[in-house]
Amino acid sequence: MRLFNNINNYIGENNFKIIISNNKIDIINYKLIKDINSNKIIIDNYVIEGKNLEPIKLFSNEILIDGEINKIYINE
Amino acid sequence: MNSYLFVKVDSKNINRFLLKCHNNNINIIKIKYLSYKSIVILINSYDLKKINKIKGISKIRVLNEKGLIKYKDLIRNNLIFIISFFIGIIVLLFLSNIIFDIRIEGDNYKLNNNIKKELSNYGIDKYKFKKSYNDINIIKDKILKKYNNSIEWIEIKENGVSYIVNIVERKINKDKSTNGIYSIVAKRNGIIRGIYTYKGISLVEKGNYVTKGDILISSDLMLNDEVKDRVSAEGKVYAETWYKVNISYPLNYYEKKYTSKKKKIIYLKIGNKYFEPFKYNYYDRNTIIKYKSNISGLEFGIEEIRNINIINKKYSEKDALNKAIDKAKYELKLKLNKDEKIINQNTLNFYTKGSKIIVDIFFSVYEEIGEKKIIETGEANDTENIGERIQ
Repeated sequence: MRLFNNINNYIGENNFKIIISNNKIDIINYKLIKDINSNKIIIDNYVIEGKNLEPIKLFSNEILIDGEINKIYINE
Repeated sequence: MNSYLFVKVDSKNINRFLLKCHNNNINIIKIKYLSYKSIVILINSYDLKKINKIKGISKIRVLNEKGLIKYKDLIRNNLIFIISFFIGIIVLLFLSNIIFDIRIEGDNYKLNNNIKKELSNYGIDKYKFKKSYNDINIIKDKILKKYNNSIEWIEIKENGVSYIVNIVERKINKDKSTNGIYSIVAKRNGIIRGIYTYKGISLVEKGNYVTKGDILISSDLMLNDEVKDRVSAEGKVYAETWYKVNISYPLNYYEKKYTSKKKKIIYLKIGNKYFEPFKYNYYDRNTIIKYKSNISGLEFGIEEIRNINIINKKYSEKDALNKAIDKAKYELKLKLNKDEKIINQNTLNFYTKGSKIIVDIFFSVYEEIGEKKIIETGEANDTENIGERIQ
């Protein structure tokens, strides 16, 4: 069942997910973009900090951010 | 197939613009930053309206298209060229399926003309549609069956917009040589003017008067009043013969001559009346393509028209007499071979009757009067007996 859920999630991308690779962050199934600027992007409760942060793909359920990422943390 | 647009956005605050897009559910597939005030985004074409609504003071410019919309625009911008191209292709296909020339390659002119008429009956004619391979085969078979005695083989080849018809004429062996033995007899009355004997014994001399049926060159080889052998007589006998020709010739002369002027025109006709900007009274018409509605009687199509020059005049009696003599001579000459000729002519009588002149002409002609005549079978058997007796 767990395996099935994992496969379902991988294919369907039903859950919230953050994928980080090569100075890129892909956030899937987010709810709200609160702020975008070149040093900080706030999505839901997640804060991404860095330099020259640029969204290079912006869907209603997915955002891909490029730039020099320094820190990701949850803002309580 | 989705359509996409590359849109350039110039804004004082690009990030605010992106947030607005996000809040209005505009999917941005790709974002490329040109500067901190300028980006190029790839969006679905249907989102352009939304972007125009939310743009505010930002400047929006569509740079390029991707997907189906690109082809739509391409077609729209080049519509005239595309339509012309397809019309051109259709015209080309139409014209390439029409026969513009038929060349019949055969030695017999008369047979060629007959075949041309036959092909025309089967729909192979100038300015008609080409036939399929199967149709051509069927037509060939039909022609071969019909002209079984005169054609050995026929081939109809398609060469561009023309057909080349090759005919091999059937040579029937007309050599009448049999085992029979011939004599040469006179086929007309006349005075002998020349005699050339190749085989047999000539029984007449120059200046002799002969009547029809007289033996001119005999097959019997005689010695001391006895038939020693028989050979088939061969030779030519020329004599002066006489003809009385009665000919009539019209005093009124009417002739339709074609001039070099000819052209193709589009015509419109209702019933028998033509509706045209110019009147073509002195023209002969030949329909090339036509469409006729049986209900309305309307007809239109393409015609080839040829200018004609009508000659309508009246001959004097003297002119008509000369013409009649020329005509009689011409018709008599048609019956003569190359080595035969008219020696003399004399007008016996002439008179006018209605709109015609009637002339009696006497001709003396130098012609071959020898005709081969076979000896009866019984006589041939006698020859064998003679042969035995000689041995």
